[in-house]
Amino acid sequence: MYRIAIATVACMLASGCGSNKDPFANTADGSVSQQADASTTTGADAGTSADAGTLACAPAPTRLVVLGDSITACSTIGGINGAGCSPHIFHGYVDSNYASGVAYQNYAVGGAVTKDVPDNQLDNIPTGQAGHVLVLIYIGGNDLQPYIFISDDAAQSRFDTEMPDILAQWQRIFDFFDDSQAFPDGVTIMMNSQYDPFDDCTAAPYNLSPLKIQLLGQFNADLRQLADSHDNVVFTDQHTPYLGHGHHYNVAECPYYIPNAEPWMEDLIHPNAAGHANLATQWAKTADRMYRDSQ
Amino acid sequence: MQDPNSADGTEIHFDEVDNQNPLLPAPYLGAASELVKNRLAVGFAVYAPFGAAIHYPTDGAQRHVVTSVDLKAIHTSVGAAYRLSDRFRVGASINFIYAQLELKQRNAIQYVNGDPEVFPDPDSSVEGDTVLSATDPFSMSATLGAMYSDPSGRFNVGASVLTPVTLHLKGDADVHNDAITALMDDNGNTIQPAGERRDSIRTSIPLPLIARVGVSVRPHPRALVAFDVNWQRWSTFKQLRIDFQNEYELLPSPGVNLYDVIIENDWRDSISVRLGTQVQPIAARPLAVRAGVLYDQSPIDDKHFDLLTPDSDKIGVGVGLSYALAWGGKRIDLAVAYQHLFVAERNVTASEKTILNKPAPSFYNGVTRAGFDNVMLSAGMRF
Repeated sequence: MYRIAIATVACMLASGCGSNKDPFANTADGSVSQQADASTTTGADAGTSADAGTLACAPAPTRLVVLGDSITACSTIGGINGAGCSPHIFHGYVDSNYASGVAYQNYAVGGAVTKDVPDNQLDNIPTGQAGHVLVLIYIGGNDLQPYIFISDDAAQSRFDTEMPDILAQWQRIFDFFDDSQAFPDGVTIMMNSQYDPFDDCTAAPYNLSPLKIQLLGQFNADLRQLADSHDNVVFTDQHTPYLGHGHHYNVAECPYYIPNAEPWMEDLIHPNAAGHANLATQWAKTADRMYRDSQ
Repeated sequence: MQDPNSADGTEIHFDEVDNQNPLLPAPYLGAASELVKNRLAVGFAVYAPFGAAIHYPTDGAQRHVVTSVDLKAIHTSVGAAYRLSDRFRVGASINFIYAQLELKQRNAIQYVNGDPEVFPDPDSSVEGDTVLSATDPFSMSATLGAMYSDPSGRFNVGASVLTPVTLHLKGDADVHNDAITALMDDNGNTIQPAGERRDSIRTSIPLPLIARVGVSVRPHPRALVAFDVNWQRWSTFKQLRIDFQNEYELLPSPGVNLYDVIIENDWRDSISVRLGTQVQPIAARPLAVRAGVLYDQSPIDDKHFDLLTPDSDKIGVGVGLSYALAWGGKRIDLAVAYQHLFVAERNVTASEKTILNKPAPSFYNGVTRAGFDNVMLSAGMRF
């Protein structure tokens, strides 16, 4: 009986480490339930319960490849090697905690939309090299940004038209990294939800409409669902922790208002240093979940 | 109008706005000399045949179209007239034009790649100022004219043509808005700071061909009646394009940058007619009394009307006096005149105008009332 019990525990451990997805992760429920979490926590703590599907026991990477737009290119905060650049901070975290000497290769470009990643950024990545690759992709804000100031009807129409193509572009990205000759030791991809600069709140002076908040939630849910359908993809919720720190951080009428919250916006759509630090913190949490069982 | 951002149908009310710059001087200086008596004369003049100096409130409903516009077009003309015979005279002049334009308006980041109609009245905290200033230091046009006089001097008929010219203005755009991010080069160096963006601009304004025909009749030795018709080919002014040279980004995001702005004008040819009379009431006194009326058709239809060029059909009435003095062997002519222009009211309900190339009828729909009082003071000396 004792042997059986020991064997059972060992089996459970082996099963947990070998699972593709974290059994304790949130389901792909979009932003709604996460928003509820965020509203009841402090800004610093928000999002700790919002970890998405997590790949356990991922191999330690030999390089961190960063793709995306001006946020991961750190266009407004000193560039990819700037001290406040969130991917640069995250690279330091991975290097210090999980993969000493991991290389940092940031090919993000300001202004990029999702299509630009397979069209213009993937070709920059060295291939055929040994070692596991951790790929951080933060893209989509520029696909959504044109919706902010157009009518609801136009935004809905564009979303319906463009979202299938955006998902198709992601499939091109997955196909690229699935090439075992190009990446003989495998790839782990980190996807992200998009934060809402306007705190999921309809308020002056920007008056982001409820429909557009809903479209952002749908966009994030679609990406999460996409991530969940791939074994080597992990998803970081950057939406929930940001709520209450956007442009309406001091508007008490907003649903995610946090008294005395720190503002995280540098300009209309980009994070400031504190916002970048938060992005890096969320990625670090994802890394913790990925690598904790392999320590 | 109803606020598109209001769920309960809240109305947006815009207060009436007025031009805050009621005075615009239009100086004229000229001289002529008879080089060959009764045969050849030459002259020059410096004048501003048209211009604008209109200033509106910076928080008014019109602020995204214009808060002020200053247009100066200074012509320097040199000309000559030649008497071919007792009945025929011809003349020609070359006009050198210096033009300067400054346009100010309020901007809002929502309009750059958004729909202005969704934000008809943005919060002032997201607005900024745009200043476009441009100059054309040198352009040329010409005037050609001919006149026939009957031998008795009781009847004259003349015609002239002012050739068209396109003003090519170059200058700068200076855009301020807190939402603008710093412009960085590839090495992370700041090219332009956050909150503002500057770029070079070019624009062209076609001035029309103008054809004039006029007659004057002296029904009495001390009375003159004159009538003329002018035709202006404003149909050449199809659109106004403001070309930004570098089209710098405002935010590192697609479409959020400075870009060429095209303003569709679709102006039409127009006609103006004038009728005037001059009477010398006392034979022994060099006093002239004048009166006249005019009708001036606007080249702009309602769909393309805006407060940049708040023009409309006009009817003018004017009166004037002149008196000639002898002073030290010279003749001094002093004149004063007053004219009032009644400008037809514009009630635009279906504008086709745009804000940053996007349809924005509600920014232009509305009622515009205007009127002008022109006061002319002149002094001339013959020696």
